Amino acid sequence: MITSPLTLKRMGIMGMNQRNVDYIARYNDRQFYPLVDDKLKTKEAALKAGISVPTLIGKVSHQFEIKPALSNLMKLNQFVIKPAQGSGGKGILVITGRKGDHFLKPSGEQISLLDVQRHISNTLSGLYSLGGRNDVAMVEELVNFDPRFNDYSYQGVPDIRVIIFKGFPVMAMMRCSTESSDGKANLHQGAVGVGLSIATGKSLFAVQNDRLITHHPDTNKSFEELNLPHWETILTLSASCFEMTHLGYLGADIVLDNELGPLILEVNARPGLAIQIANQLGLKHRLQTVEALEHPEMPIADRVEWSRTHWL
Amino acid sequence: MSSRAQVYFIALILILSGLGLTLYKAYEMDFPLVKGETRQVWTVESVVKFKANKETSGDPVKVSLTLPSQQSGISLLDEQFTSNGYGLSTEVENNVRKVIWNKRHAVGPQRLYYKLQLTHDGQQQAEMLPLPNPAPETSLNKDEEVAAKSILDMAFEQSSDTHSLVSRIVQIIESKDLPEVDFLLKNDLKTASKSKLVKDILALKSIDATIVRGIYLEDGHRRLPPEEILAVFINNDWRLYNFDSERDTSLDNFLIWQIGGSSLLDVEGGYDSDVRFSIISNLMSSQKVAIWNTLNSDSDTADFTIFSLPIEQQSIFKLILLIPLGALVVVFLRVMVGIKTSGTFMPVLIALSFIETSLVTGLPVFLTIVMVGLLIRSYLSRINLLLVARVAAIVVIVVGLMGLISITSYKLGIEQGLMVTFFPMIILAWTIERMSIIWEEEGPKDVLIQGTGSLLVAIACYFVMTADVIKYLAFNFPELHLTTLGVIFILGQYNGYRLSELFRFAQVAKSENEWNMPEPKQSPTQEKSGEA
Repeated sequence: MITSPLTLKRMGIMGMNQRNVDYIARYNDRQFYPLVDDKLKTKEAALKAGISVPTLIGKVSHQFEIKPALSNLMKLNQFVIKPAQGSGGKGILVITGRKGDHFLKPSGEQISLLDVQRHISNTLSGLYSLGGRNDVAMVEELVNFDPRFNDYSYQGVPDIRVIIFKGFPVMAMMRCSTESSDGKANLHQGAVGVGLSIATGKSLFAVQNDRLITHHPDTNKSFEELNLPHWETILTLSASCFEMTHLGYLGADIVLDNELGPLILEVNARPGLAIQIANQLGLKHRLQTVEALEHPEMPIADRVEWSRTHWL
Repeated sequence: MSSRAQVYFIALILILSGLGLTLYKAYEMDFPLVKGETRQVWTVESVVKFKANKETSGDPVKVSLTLPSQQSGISLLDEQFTSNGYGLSTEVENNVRKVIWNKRHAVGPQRLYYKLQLTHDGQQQAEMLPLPNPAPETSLNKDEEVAAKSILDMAFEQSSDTHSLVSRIVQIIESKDLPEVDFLLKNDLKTASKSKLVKDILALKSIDATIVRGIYLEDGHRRLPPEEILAVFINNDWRLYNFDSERDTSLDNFLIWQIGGSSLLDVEGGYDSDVRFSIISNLMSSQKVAIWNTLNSDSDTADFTIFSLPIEQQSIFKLILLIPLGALVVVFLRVMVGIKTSGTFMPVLIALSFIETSLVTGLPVFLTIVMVGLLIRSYLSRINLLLVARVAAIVVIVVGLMGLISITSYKLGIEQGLMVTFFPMIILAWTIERMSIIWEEEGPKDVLIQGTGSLLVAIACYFVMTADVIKYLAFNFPELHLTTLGVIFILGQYNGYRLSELFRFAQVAKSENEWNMPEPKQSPTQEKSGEA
């Protein structure tokens, strides 16, 4: 199946080259990249700005710190290990429970302490980071995601991606992992992308492997009924990332914690384009509307309000 | 100027200057744009022969031979001297080049060689001749002068103007009509030259003449003495005469060796000296001729070319100069087509090794190493190793595999298997490591996608980098890489869709068609979500 570039252009679908040349290169100043490329720095900045993030349990920066860290991890039932400079969700180890000396992954798979040690060691040597740089492993508290979404996701935590342009929320989607995506939230690996209405937080479309679907393939839950709570908070939280990171074009990744509400997981300076498929809509017209604004400098709440009244 | 306009402006300048320099080189410096053009190259070999003064003990000897200079219509490409134990030096005096051979003790017959290669494109060369001397002097003594006068008087009687006078003198000398001719030629021991005699006779009438020495470029001549052409200044113009009536007296295919002067060759400490010329012509690739031409011309920039490097370095540059084109292919395939590769420029390096091994043998060998490497790597991931150590371990394994493949293929009689050594080991090791991580992180499907992508790009690079035309142009016209740079700049500004995106977003476009919206400008989602 192929389509003509003219059709895509008329629909306002943004291509990778245009994203890179016209938005990322133009609105994202390189000097602000380190803040978002290093999740530890992002977390610090977020805390300073009063933006909610998952709690940091600890970090491992050197190989010799692994042994003491492991003894701490032995005391925990649930935690997440992430490379601070990881990209594309690589190297994230989620532990949801214990079985004796073994740790349980969301899939139910058991791994030993040695496996955890190797994972941290690999992380430190830069296996998961951009360009193979030496990295830091961060240990975070596991997000207890809202049980209302249990059926929307298979094994993984569903996360919400909001594209923020010049501080305005322009498009949003929820990514739900499936069995075929192996619990990962990457759309090209078979996760479901659910387009969300900017105005209401209700679902618009659900797409898996570039096909429109109505129900989750594993849980059979209908996406029609999906209606995200705390929508205003989610949008406000995402929009405030603009002030925090100074990036003109960013993607904010959010999870809903049962008790803490929406939390910023990470900020992406090069958000992907799959969101257009989930929304069945091109980004370009919305981006151009914001670009055409004469006075885009508004308080966060006003920007969110503006987006919600202008777009579905 | 906006940044985008700036990029286009710079790119345009780069592209134009690349093409401009290339065309200049092709049309002004005669570098052929197409491989295989040939040109006629003349090789002139001059042999200086003489006998050293003493047969036994040896005396100091100094030989000086006038050399031809660059002249219009003829390009001197290359010259070689043999010295045979002589000290060799060249010097320029009054715009005349000379080679001087020196030896302290020379015994018996001596031979010295000077070889010259040149091209000739048939333009007139008369402007080489100097300004005339208004009061020419004669070198005749009293007795000779009387004899000369009688020749002159006879010729003068039998002619009407200067031109016919000179012709008549030449005729008289050729046919020896007067006894004075014999007397003069025998007496003129110094040169024994008829042209010299005509020059002297004309000087009595205050007509200036000069002797042009050189050789006619005609294939297959062997051991010829230098030819002499007499140029006589008549009516503000040099007219040419010679003593071989069958030849026309133009300088068209004449290689001027010396204008004026007494002789080509000057030998001190020897006798019976003689210089002879042999001439052959052959066809040579125009490219080689142009390179010679560049290297031997006197311009300051001439030395600043790849061809001035030693041959060994040149052959390295043959490969290096292909890399920009490989890079261009990678940029094109990633930006315009959207092929995913593992490692941005890794495909170029693989393509470079394919160039060494040829694609047919390189591809299976490459695939074998990567696959076996992946198998072993999957075990390595089970044991605890630091990343650097693991990659190093893979390097060792890759080396082992290379050895194994070489030996096995050699034993089986497949010589091509030995080519495996041309693969860059470190690159192979990193490829294996990356692929294995993709396998673990994203599954075998992504390994297949990125692996095939990398290979496709590498193969595309290979075909571009091995195309004869491209190889030839990249090496002989490195200026073209300015154009490559300009094109890369422009590709870097491309913000349109990638070919792969036409597939990726096809479903979104199709859904638009399915709903059959009345107004294309209105987004379909708004309608649909209104219902939801």
